[in-house]
Parts: sequence; structure tokens; C-alpha cells
Amino acid sequence: MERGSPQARRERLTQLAPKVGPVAFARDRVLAVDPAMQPLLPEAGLVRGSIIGCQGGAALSVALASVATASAAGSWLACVGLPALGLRAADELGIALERLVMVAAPMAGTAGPTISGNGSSADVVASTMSALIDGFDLILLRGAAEIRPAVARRLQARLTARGAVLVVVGDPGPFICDLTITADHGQWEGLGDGSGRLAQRRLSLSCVGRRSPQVRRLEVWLPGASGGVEPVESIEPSRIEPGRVEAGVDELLTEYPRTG
Amino acid sequence: MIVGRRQSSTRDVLPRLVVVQCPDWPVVAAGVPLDEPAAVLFANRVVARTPAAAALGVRYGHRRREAQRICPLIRIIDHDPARDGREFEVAVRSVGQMVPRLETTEPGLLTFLAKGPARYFGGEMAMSERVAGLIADAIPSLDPNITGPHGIRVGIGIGDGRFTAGVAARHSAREAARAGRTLAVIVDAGVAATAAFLEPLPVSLLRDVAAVDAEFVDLLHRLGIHTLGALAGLPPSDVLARFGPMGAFAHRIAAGGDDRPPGTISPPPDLLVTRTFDDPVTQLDPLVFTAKQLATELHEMLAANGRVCTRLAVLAETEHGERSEHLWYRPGGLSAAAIIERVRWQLDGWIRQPDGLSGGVVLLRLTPDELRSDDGTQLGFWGGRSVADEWAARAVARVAGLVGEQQVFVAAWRGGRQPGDTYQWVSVDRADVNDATDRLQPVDVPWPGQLPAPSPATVLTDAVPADVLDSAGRTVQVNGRGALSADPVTVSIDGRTMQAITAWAGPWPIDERWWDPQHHRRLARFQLTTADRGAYLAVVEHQRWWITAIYA
Repeated sequence: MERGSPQARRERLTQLAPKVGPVAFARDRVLAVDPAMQPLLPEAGLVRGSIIGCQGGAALSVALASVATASAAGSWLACVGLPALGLRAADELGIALERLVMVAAPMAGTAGPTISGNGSSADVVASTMSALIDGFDLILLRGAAEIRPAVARRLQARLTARGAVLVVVGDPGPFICDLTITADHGQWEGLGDGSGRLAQRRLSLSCVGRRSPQVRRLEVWLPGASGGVEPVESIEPSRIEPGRVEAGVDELLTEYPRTG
Repeated sequence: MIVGRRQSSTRDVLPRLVVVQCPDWPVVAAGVPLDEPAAVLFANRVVARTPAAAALGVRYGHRRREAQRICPLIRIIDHDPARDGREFEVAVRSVGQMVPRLETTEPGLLTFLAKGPARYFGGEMAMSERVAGLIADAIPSLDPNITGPHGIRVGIGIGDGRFTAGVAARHSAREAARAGRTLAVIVDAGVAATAAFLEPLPVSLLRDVAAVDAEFVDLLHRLGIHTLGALAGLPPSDVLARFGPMGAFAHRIAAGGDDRPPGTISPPPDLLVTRTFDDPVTQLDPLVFTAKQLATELHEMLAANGRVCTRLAVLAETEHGERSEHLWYRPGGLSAAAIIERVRWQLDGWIRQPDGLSGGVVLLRLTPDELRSDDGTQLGFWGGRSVADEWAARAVARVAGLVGEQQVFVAAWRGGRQPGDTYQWVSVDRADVNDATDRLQPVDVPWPGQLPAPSPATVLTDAVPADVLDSAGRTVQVNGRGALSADPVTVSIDGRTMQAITAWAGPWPIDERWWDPQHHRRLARFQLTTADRGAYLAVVEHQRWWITAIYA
């Protein structure tokens, strides 16, 4: 093919386009989430450098479920202020326990040891969190309200620069969340009056973003029958009331009238 | 004459070494009576046991349950390298009064040059007896007067090179346990004598003493090469062609040759890192903190040249001139974290010695004594080690320095019926962050009595008391046969207002460790959901209700 031909130029341009375009869009720098949770998030994943707040009764489960896929894919997860995290539940949700590290209590006011220098506990919190941001892709934080606003601003800037994702469980305190996922307490199924066992929970999630004012809603099984997060099918055979099924059949019949 | 020396020059550089080995050092360091069955477990595997436990059949590598099956009363002790290192300092100081340039590979394993001390004490045999006596004086539980099978005795091996001396020391330790007193195993100098000593020994020693890849040793077994002599008898070029540099190295040491890894060099004399303190330091933590900076500095300096330090001298000096100087050896190279750990062991034992120090520490110096080209760890492209692993490990080291190693945890599999038992948190000073194979076992091991998935997301570290009442307002009781006095109707958690119970199931009784009066637990578990839509795991023990986990 000739160098100057229009076709060759066009091909050359398409080759160059990705090279001269903007470095990377925010939506390209995302960590994967479980397919069942994708409809909830505007970018269908965790945008690197963002802060995600999880609130409501099932906040911890939602936080774990949202980081599970990225953790399983090779990202390291640090938990801060969550000494009561159920490791078996984390494992069932798909979090890679070999890449999970927990820092017990660097929070101000808690009885954690400080370095033997004169550093105040607020400095320890700041340096601990920045060290984690440097080394980990995912950070799960509870007790954010105890972090000072100035420290939070610094951490937020560092998070953006480094591209880690901070998931705040409960009160976000001074952090400004890019996304806030609110979960209700959910409805447990499987437990009867002296019989059965907790089998699965139906959760209503709503997500509102700083840049996407539209509220997204999603119903999921968390945990589902297999332990992980599962989508709630729009029509479930077991949950359809008899009357509705008949109505549905009638509609079908009117649309496709029986012949003969 | 000169020609003859030239020919044997590779042989001449192999130093004659003394290796002093204390088997099962962790149980000695833990201070348990050696006539009681006890074992030290790391990642659920036995790494050391008392002679009493060994006599009952507890072996290295046994799991906790296996050890408890063989010996239900066995005392399980946590693995604590810091304790082992600190306690071993006593022995190191004691031998160090007599022998210069003492080198520690790990707590329980000492190495030094045989030449000088042997001449001073009138022969290698006399010297080894002297050393055994010094160690027995320093550590009372190694006293040779305790006869019978209930004693641990040090093994002393003397030979050409680290591998031969190490193998000899293992032999000596085994013989000492049998005979009831330490008798050094001395391998005569020279390649022929060394090769003859090694010839009938199993190839598994390559793995245990020379840290050769376990897979390679396994492969040798499958190929029918069971002894070091059989390996040494193979043509060197064939071994190199088939197994690569690792095979060539193993072949060389099996034949009694040079056992130093290729590329070992002596560092330039000016290569060292030092920190002096204007104000003498009396606390351990600031010293270790400074050691961290020095170790990182040194490691980066070496890494920039593609080298790694395999032997390091750590020197600390007080304002009154008291000195603590040790050599630390690690065949795989000392990483910054390993250096810090060793400095902590050395200084902790030094500062805590009975007569104490007369002043604060004013000088801390790390001097590399032997360098090796760093063949590095190939970072995995998919799977294996990745850059993310490296970053995370660095971040963990930083955070551990900031908040203390006891405050940073990783998950380890333990097994159990309660939700908090299956996995537990282990602090990073006792576990390897990057290599999870030891701490995370395959999870599909059946554990009867475990509640099925899903598991609670919050497992309370301290159970919260609760009141569970029936319709008449009486506390619901569970009798010894697991029957309920009445159906539970309301619950009050931690003294808060009563909630109606919307659904419940149970009791699921468990009766754990009935053979052990101290740890025996009998309890019944329930799942409850309440009117405010909480879901809880409740437990009845001794007729009292507790909330142990929340399905949050």
C-alpha cells in the first residue's frame, strides 16, 4: 500500500489515536467488582483513587463484597479498625485471605502503642494510612470519624495520586465520598421458628455519587445461597404468586391466540 | 611445592568450621520442663518438641491435631522467633568470651572458625568439650547432668566447610541424645575424608542443612539417588546439564567441595553504615528503629549494585565501651526485615543480661562481611510473586514500624467449629506476609460440627452477654441433652431494650476438648433474627447467653 493513500493515512491515524489521546479516563482505571454489583456503580467498577462509603445495617458485608473480586484478582487489601472482621465470611465472599492484612488500632484515642519518638497519635494515623495507601490497592476503614479533617484531606490527595481505593465502613467522618452505597438491614431467609438456618439475605442497595446525582438502586442476595453476592432475578419462579402467573399466561394467550 | 599448593588452592580456601547446634531450641527458649510433653507450633506444624514428646512419637511437621491425638496432654506453645533469639544470646555471649568472630545462623545454630580456638585449647576435641561446657553453664536446662532421655544436648560438628560441619553437628546432636552426653563429631580435613564422611548419608540433608530446594531433593529420590555418595558419583557435566546451577551446587557439596554459593565476594572495607547517638540510648525500641533506617540504607546501597549481604556484623557500643558484636549469616541473603529482626534479637538479649549495661548505647554499626550477587526473585507475570506483593510487603514493614509488629496481622488457618476459630489473626512478626502457603491450609478439610455457610461478617472479639426469655419472661435454658425449656421469644442484647425474636433455630450443641479440663467447652449455638432485622449467632454456655457474632 502507498504511504500517501487515504486508506493508509486513515489506518495510521487510528493507530495514533490512542497514543495522542488523554492519558487515561477515570473509567479506564477501575478495579473489577462482582458482575452482580456492576449495575449499582456508575463505572461498573471501583474507580482508582476514589473513596467509597458504605452505610446502613449491612455496610460491612457490602464493603467486603465490593472489594472481593479485585482482591481475588491480585490486589492487596488492608483493613483498618476492623478487628472483629469475620475471616470465614470474607473467605466465602471471595476475598483472597493471603493478600489481606489487618492493622489493629492506629486511631487516635485508642490504646495502641506509638513509636518511641515523640510523634503524636494523629501523626501515627496519618503515616499509617499513607503507608497503606502506598502499598495497597484496597483499604477498608472503619472509625473514619476519628481522623482529623486536615489528615483526611492529605490522605485523599495521596489516594488520588497513588490510585488506591478507600472503602469507608460506617460514618465517613471528614472524608468526602465519591460514591455512597447505602444498604438496609436486608431480609434473611431460611430461618424458621425453631428450624432451618440462615441461608441467604435479600438486600436493597442504593448508590449515590458526587458526580452522578441519579440514585441507582439494586437488589442482591448478599450473601447468596453460594456464600457470595448474587443478582436477584427479575422474575423468580419460586416467588411468583399464583394469581400473577395466571395473568401472565392470559396475556401470552391473548398475544398468541390458540389456533384450533 | 608451589605447584602443589596451586592445585589444591580451591580446597585451601574452604575454612575449617565448628558448628554448634542445639536441636529443639524453641522449646528450650520457652522454658518448659523438658520432661513434660510440649511442642512449638508454627503455622499449625510442629517445629520443635521436648524429648518427652519425642519419646511419645510427636514428630516435626505434625499438625496440631496429630500431635494432640498422639499425646492429648501435650502443651502447645506459640512460635516466637524473638523469644528464641533473645534467649539464645546468653549462649552466644558465653561462647563469645572464648571464641572470636562468632556467627549465628539462627537461634540455636552457631558457627565459628576452628583454627584459632583449637590451637589455643589444645586440639579440636578439647575445644569442643570446652564449648559444650560453656553452653551448659549458660543455659541450665542443657545441663549434661540430667541423664536419661529427658535432656536436650547440643551437638558439635567440626569439618571443612559449612555443609560438612553442619551435617556433623546434626549427627553429634543425635548421638548426644542417645548417649546422654555431648560428643563432638570431627570430620578429618581434606576432600577425600569429607567425601568419605558424606558418602552414606541421605540426600535429604541437602535440604535440611544446605537449604537446597525441597523439590530438587524429592526429584533425586524419585530418580533413585538416595545418598550423597550416589549424587557425587555422577559426572559433574551431566548433573549441570540436567539440573542447572542448583544441581551443580548440590553435586559439588555432596562431593565435599566448596559449599559457598557462586558469586560470593568479600566486600570493600569501607562499606558499612553507622549511626552515633549524641544522647546515649537505653531503650530497645529507639535502637531498633534506628537499625531499621540503617538496614534499609544498607540494603538499598547493596541492591543498587545488584548484591545482597549473606553475612553481617552488627556492633553496638555503650558510652563506657561495652561492646556487643555478632556476625549473622543467612544463606539466602539478609533482607532489610531480616537484618532488623537480628539486630533486635542481639540487642534485646544484650540489654536484658543479668548484670545489665552501665550506660546507654552510643554507636550502632552494620558491616557487611560477605556479599553475594543477588540472583533476585523473579517476579511472577501471572501468579507467583508480583510487584503488588512487593509493595504490600514494604507497606506492611512500614506500618509495623509505626504501630508495632504486634498490631499488624495476617490471616492464618487454624480450624475449629466456632466462626472465629476457622481462621485467626496472626501478627506479622510471627508469619510471612508474602508467602501464605504455610499459614493458609486448604480450606476444604472437613470439620464436623461447623455451622454451614454463610458465616457471620462480624465475629466479636469479646462475646456480649444477652438475655433470652420465653413467653412467660423466664430465661430460656438448655439442658444437658440439648433440649430447650421453652421457645425463645424476646432477646435483650447487652442490657438494651427487649426485641422480639422473629425467627430462630437451634440448639446445635458442641462439646469440645472434653479430654482437657482446662479447655473443655460445652455450648449450644443458636441463630436468631430480631424485630429490628438483626441476625445474630448466640451461644449458651453454663446456662448463660452470649452473642458471639453478628451477621452484619
